Amino acid sequence: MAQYALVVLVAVSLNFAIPRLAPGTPIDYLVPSEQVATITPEQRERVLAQFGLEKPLAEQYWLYLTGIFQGDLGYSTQQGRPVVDMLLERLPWTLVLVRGAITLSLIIGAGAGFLSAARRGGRMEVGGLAFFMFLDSMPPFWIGMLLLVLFSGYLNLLPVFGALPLTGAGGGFGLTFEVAQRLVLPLLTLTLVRAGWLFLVARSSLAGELSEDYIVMAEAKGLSRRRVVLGHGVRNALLPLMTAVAVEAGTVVGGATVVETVFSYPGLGRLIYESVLSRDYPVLQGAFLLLAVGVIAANFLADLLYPIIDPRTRTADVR
Amino acid sequence: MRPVLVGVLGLLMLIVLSPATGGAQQTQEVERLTIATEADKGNLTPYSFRPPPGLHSELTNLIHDTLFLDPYTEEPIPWLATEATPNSDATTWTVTLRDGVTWHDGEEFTAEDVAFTYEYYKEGPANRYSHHASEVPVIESAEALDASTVEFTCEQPCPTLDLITLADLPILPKHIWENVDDPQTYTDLPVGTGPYKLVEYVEDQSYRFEANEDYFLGPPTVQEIEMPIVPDPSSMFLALESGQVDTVTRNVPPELEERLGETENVELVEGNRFSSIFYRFNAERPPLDQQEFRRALDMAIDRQELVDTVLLGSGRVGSPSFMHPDSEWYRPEDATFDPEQAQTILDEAGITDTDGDGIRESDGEPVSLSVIVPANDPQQIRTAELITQQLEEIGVELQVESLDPGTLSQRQNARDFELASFQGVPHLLGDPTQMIESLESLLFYSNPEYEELKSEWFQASTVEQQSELLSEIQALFVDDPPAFTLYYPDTKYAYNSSAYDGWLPAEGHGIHHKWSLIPEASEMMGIERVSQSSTLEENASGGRAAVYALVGAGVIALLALAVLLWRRSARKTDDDQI
Repeated sequence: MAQYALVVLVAVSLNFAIPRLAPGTPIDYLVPSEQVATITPEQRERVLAQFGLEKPLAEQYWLYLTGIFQGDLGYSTQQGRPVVDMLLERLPWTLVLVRGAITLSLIIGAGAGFLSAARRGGRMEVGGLAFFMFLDSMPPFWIGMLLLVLFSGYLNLLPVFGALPLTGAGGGFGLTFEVAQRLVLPLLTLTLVRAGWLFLVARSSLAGELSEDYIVMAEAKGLSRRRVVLGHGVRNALLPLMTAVAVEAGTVVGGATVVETVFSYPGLGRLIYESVLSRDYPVLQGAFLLLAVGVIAANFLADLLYPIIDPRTRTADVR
Repeated sequence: MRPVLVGVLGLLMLIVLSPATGGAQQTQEVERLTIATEADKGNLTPYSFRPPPGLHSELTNLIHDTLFLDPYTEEPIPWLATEATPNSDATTWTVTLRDGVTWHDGEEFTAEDVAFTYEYYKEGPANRYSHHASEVPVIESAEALDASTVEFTCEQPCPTLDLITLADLPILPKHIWENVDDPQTYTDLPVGTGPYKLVEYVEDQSYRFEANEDYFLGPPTVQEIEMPIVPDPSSMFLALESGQVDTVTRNVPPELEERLGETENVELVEGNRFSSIFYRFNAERPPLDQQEFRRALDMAIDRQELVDTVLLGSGRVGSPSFMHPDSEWYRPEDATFDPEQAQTILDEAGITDTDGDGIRESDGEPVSLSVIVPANDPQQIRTAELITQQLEEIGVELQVESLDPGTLSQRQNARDFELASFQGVPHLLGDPTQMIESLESLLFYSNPEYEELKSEWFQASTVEQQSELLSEIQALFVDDPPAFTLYYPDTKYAYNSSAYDGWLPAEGHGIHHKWSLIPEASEMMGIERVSQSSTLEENASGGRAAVYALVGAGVIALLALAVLLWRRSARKTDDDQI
C-alpha cells in the first residue's frame, strides 16, 4: 500500500512539473498571435492572475497539492471552468467508449487468439493471424476514416460526428438509441485497433502453454482435448493477458484521442490533446492525475486478481 | 456463442433501422441550418478568444453587435450607431446611437453600455479587441452625453474611429458585465443585441443559436442554427457530402475542390477571407541583419511555384505590400523573382562560396538558416521544404524545424528563431491599425523613413491622409520588406445550395457570419448573395470514380491474399486438428 501511495505522490508531482517544462505558456493561447508581442507585462500579469499562474512555482505547487485533497483542481485557462467539472463531464464518454472497447476487443481478440492457438496450423490460424496482424498494423484514424466513409458517407446509415444528437431527442429510449448510434463507429474502431494486439498476446501465450509438459501429461491421462485446452492451457494463459489489459487500461485512454478526434467524440483524450496545445496547466494536471490514478488502480486490481487465478502467486498468509 | 450472436444481430438492426439523418430544406425562410465548425471557441464572449483554426469574431458577432458594420468595408456603414461626427482634427467624435435597440434579456441598449464597454476593454485583461481602446488609437475617454449620444476622445487624431475602431469592438451590456471581475472565468452564455441568441453550448460538441425575433433590423432569415464542432477535416467534409450538415466553416482544401464540386447540391464559392502565409525573420541574427541579404533571399523565392505546387493553383502570389490584395488598404506591388540577381547581390555583399561546398559563407560561417513551422499544418511544411530547394539554388542552406504551436510561439516571443512561418489572419491583413502596431511588435520593423511616416500617420486627421501614408509605407517594403509574404491562399467555402443559398461573401470574413443571415445586409454592404451571382464552375468528373476504383482494387487484393493463405494452409496441414 505504501508503495502505491509513493507512486501516486511521484505521479502527482510529475503532473505538476511536466506541463510547465514544455515551452510556451497559457498566455500564448489566450491572446491572438498578432498581438501577443504588443501586450504589456501588466496585462500579461492580469490575464495570468485570473488563474493564479502568476504566483511563484512553489506556491502554485502547494496550492495544487492542497487543492487535490479538497477536490479542487483549479480553473481551466481555456474554458474558465472548474477542472473537476470538465473532467467529470468527459469521463463518462471515455469510460463507455474505452471500457466497451476493452471488453469487446478482449472477447473478440483473445477469443480468436485462443482459438487460433488451439488449432495451430489450421486454416483458421493462418487466416486469423494474417487478419489480426493486418488490424494491428493499421493506424486508428485510418480504420476510423474507412468505417466513416463506408457507413456514414457511402451508405449514409450512421452520423458522422458527435456523441449526442444536435436537436434534443427527448429522453428515454429515443435518446439511448441516438447515443448508441453515435457510439457504434468509434467503439468498433477502437475495438478493432485493440483486438489485433490482444489476439497476438492470447495466441502466443496459449501456444506457449500448450507446448508445456503438463499438457502432455494431461493428454496422457486421457482428458478430452477440450478440457486440456480450456481447463489447463487457457487458465494459465490468462495471466499474461490480464497483465496486458491492465497496462493497456491507461494507454487506451491516450490512444482514444485519435479516434475521438475523427468522430468528434467528447472524451478525455480530446480534452488532453486540446489542453496540451493550449498549455492549459490546470486541466493537464487534473487529467493526468485521473489517468495516473486509473492506471495505478488497474494494476492494483490486477495484483489482487493474480492470486485468485494463479495459486503460485499466492503468499503464505493469503493461503 | 449465443450472446455474441444476439449482440451482432442487435448491432446490425441498429444500423439498418436508423433513419438516414440530414436532408435539406427547400424554403427561403429556413427553419434550421446545420453548420459544422472546426473548433471550440468557448462561450463566445469577446474574451473567449482561441487562435485559428476556426471562426472567432464571426461567431461572437452573431450574438454581439458593433457600432459600425465591419472594419474591412470601404466606407463606414452605421450599425448600432446612426452617425459619427468628428471635430476638426478628428480627436473628438460624437456618436449617435440607434433608438429602440434591446438586449437579449429585454433591457434597453443605451449610451451607457457603449461608454462602459470602452472603459472595460481599456481597464480589463487584454483580449482580441482591447488594443482598439488601449493602443491604436488610445481612447482617452468614452462618455455618455445622453441616452443615445456618446463622445469619444482620442489622445491623437483618430480618423479611422468610425471606419475601424467602432466597427471592430463588440458592445457589452453594462448591466451584466459591470458585475464580472474575471472576464476569462465568466462562463455564462453571453447576452448581446445581435441577430442570434446563444441558447446552448456543449463544450467540444456543439453550439445552438436561436433567432432574435426582436432584432433591430427585423428577424434573421434562419430560425435556428445548429453548430456541431467537428475537428477532423475529413470527417467534416464527409458530413457535408452525406448531407448531415448544410455547410462547413473550414475552407475547402485545394485537393478536395474537384470532388466536392461534383457532389450533388454542393456548391463552392470564394469567400474572400483574408489569409496569407508569410515568413517573419529575425533581423538580429547575422546574416539576416543585412538588408541586402534579406533582399536576395526574397528574390530567390519562386512564389508562383509555391502557389502551383502547394496550393494546386488556388491562390495568389505574395506581395511585398504585406496586406491582403482585396483590402482597401493594399498597395499593388509585385514581388521580384530573380535568382540571378539574388546571386549577384550576395556576391557583391561578400557572401560567397569560398570553400566550394555549394554553400556560401558569411564571416567565415556557412550560411545555414532554419525556419520554424507549425507541425500541425502540412501545407506550411510542404512550403518550407520547397523553399529549401529554391534557396539551395543560390547557395543558402535552409533547415525546416516543425514544432507544436506552443513551442512555436514561445520561440518567437523569445526571438529564438531565424525564419518563422506565420499565418496572416484578417485582422492583421485588413486592419491598418493592427498592421502599424504589428510592424514593430511582431515584425520588429524599423528604418528611418518608416519612423518618419509612422509619426505622420499618427498625426493624420483624415482617412485619405492615413491611406496615402500607409501606401507610402508599403512602398518602402519593396526594397526593405518587413516579412516575406509567400502567398495568399484562396478561401473557397462549400455549402449545400438546397438548404440555404443566401450566403454573402464578405471581404475578410468568408461566408459564415451574421450578414449572410440578415436580409438588409446585402444592400447595406453592396455585396451580392450567392443565390444572385453565379457560383464557381464545377469541375470535370473523375475524382470520385478514381477513389472508388482504388478502394475496390484494395479490397480485391486483400480478398485474393486471404484466399491464397487459406488454400496454402489447407493444403499443408489437415492432420493437426482438434
